[in-house]
Amino acid sequence: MAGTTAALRSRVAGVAWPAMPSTHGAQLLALSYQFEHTQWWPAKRLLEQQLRQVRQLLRHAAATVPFNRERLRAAGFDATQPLTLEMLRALPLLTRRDIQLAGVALHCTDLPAAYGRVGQTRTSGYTGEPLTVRRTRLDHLLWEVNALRDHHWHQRDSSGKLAIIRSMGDTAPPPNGSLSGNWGSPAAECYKTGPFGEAEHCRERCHAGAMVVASRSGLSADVSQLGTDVDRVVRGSRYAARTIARRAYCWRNGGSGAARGVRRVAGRSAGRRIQLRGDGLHHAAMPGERRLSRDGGKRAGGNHRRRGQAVRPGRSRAGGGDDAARWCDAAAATRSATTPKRARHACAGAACRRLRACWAGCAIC
Amino acid sequence: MTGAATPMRSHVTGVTWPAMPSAHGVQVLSLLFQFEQTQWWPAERLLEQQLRQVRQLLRHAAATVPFNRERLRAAGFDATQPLTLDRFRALPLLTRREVQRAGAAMHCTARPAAYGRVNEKRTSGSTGEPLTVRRMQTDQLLWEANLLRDHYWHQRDFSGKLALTRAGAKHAKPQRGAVQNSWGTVAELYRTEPLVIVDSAADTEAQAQWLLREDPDYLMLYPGILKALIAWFASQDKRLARLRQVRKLGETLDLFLRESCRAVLGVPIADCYTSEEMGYIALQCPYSGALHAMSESVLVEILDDNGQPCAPGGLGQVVVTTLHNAAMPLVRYVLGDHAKVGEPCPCGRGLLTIKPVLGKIRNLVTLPTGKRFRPRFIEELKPFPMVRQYQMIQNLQQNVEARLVVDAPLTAEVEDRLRKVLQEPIGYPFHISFVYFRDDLPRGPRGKFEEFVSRLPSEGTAI
Repeated sequence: MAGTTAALRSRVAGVAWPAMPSTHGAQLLALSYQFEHTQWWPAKRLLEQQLRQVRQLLRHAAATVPFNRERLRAAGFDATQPLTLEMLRALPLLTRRDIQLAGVALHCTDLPAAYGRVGQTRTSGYTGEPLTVRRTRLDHLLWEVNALRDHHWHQRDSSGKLAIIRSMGDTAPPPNGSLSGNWGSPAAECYKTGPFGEAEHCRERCHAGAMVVASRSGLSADVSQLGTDVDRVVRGSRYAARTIARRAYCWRNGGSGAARGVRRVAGRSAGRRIQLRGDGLHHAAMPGERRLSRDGGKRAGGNHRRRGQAVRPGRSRAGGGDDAARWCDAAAATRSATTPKRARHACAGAACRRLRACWAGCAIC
Repeated sequence: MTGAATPMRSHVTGVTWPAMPSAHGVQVLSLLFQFEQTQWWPAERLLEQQLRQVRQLLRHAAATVPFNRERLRAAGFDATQPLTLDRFRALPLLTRREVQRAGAAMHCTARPAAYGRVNEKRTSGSTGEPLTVRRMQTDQLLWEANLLRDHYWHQRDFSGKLALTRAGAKHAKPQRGAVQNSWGTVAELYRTEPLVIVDSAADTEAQAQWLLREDPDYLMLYPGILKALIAWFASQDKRLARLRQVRKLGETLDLFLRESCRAVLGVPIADCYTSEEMGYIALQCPYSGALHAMSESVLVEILDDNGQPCAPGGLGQVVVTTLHNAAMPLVRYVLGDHAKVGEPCPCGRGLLTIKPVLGKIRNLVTLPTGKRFRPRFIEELKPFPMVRQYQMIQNLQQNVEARLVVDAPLTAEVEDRLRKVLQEPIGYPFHISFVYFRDDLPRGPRGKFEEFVSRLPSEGTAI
């Protein structure tokens, strides 16, 4: 990505550098440019701008969202006054159950055209309480900018191959999954991520930059398939990540794995991520563990590096190092049947003991 | 600014932060996003990308620009081969005279629609040789990005008032000036205070009085006009209370003017190097004060007398290639200016450092030995307060005409003293004759004033 070897895509024939991105790409980069600056602002200044924006949102909500109209009035929200932190904190908390009960009363009745069309996502989340969430095109744009920021922060090389393993229904059945010529938006909107548009010709031509989406079923087979060529950057759910990591460890020992990193996209973890390095498998603690949910978008960023700063090796609460892979024994793990995603398990591994509570996301277990 | 106090304009109602700029604004910001990265690249990496882009331009020029088709073939350009630095340097230099003669043959006969519409601009430049330049919309976009970069580098606050003295602004008489409600293209991204304009052809006192009334935060003007204004403010012991910075337009800037601006007006000058044909060529580094080439839009070479690139510290002629102007590709164009190559800048940017730009050959004195340099007379004239303005014209190899604005012609004895004093900065016993004027000396077509003008036959040609 920016600052690494990847080149930005130029959509104007005859202009290679600097790139003239597509309209959508330019929007992403324009916001990325703002983020590049705002991320270094002091917390006070960030909060000030946040409150300024929240005030706009509340005014809009009070005027066009039936559920909020009454709720905000009851909370004493005054659209004519600047919003202070105290005023914000005086607003009642909103629970998932509130949203479920409110139903369409939470939907805006008069959305300005500039916000773009509205998309809808149905999510069960972690609690098993289904929820339908509406998001505008503009909101999605910010989601994409944060996804791009994630790539930038972690200096991902978009010329690498990206594999995604997640629940996809029948759209990407094993053993081959489905193939795409690039990483998809937002990365492919801005960067060259591979032999664009060649996916349909022949699978072998898509080795660089191609995305493999495999369904969770038959994961083991997919992972085996990923072994030598599709394992550069691996992205998937915690469950998939663990499996990939375990397999990658095996590959490492078997001499064929080459994954550069695993990024979790869903599920909670105990604040650790899996890193696959040339010298073995590591657990790395993330000071600001990245969390993502369908209803809230990206909530917190992970490690990142500022220009000129040395890269600090991830300091694991579990100790880190090559031995990490051997601390926990998968066979020792027993899962809870009721809440599998958050199951504590009985594990005798050293990492688990140090963490006191080893969530299933300790990567190897 | 994004990193400073002024909030960015959002074009979506209900969204103030982060700003959702206009379609044009996002294009400019997407370029600035890239500039933020590329400015720190090492020089080799920048050159690699520049050559990649020049190759695209040359392929286009060879295919669609009649003038270039033959010229590039003769120079052995092969569109199928990657462009190396050696191959690029094998291309012939392009002079202003050649561009004038080529006329419409310099224009691209087929333009991709994605390049946008073409703008045409007629420029006389400081040499008085008119030239019509065509520029693409993409080129204009880069121009805007560089302008914004200049504002960012110098941390200008858009909530301040900007005053501009502009050549040819006939409607902006100093009694009232003219007012634009924004700083121009910057307003696409930021809310700005008004821009106030005055005709640079107005006399110095009228301009000074207008400035006192407007009391701007920033002032953009030619160095020649600034020099006259500084003299006026010094003589009246006045200052512009709110002024924060002067931004130079055109011409070259000397150290003395920098110092006197700080002493009299109490503010620094931000330098830049632009041309009508090329747009922004270099901007002043916010850290070191040297000039950085805008390597993302132009490839700047500084060549010695043998056409070889100068080493740091070396003086040579400035040769520029626009990277994106497909409407009228100017490849290895000789600007007629002289500049020194700077050492790598301590700021860490990989952009070429130029230090300083000495201006046109016509502004350099030529000694009978062939040596050329830019003479300065300001210090030597201090003991002669009766000289209100001056200009030196080199008519012959050993003759210089001193044009002086005085209340009464100087006596023979004062003339002798002055002659000796003027010969010192030149370092040669020229024959100096005096011509007297009562009113201000005439300025060039764009309001520029040249202290020294060489009228020797070799003017405007490469050394």
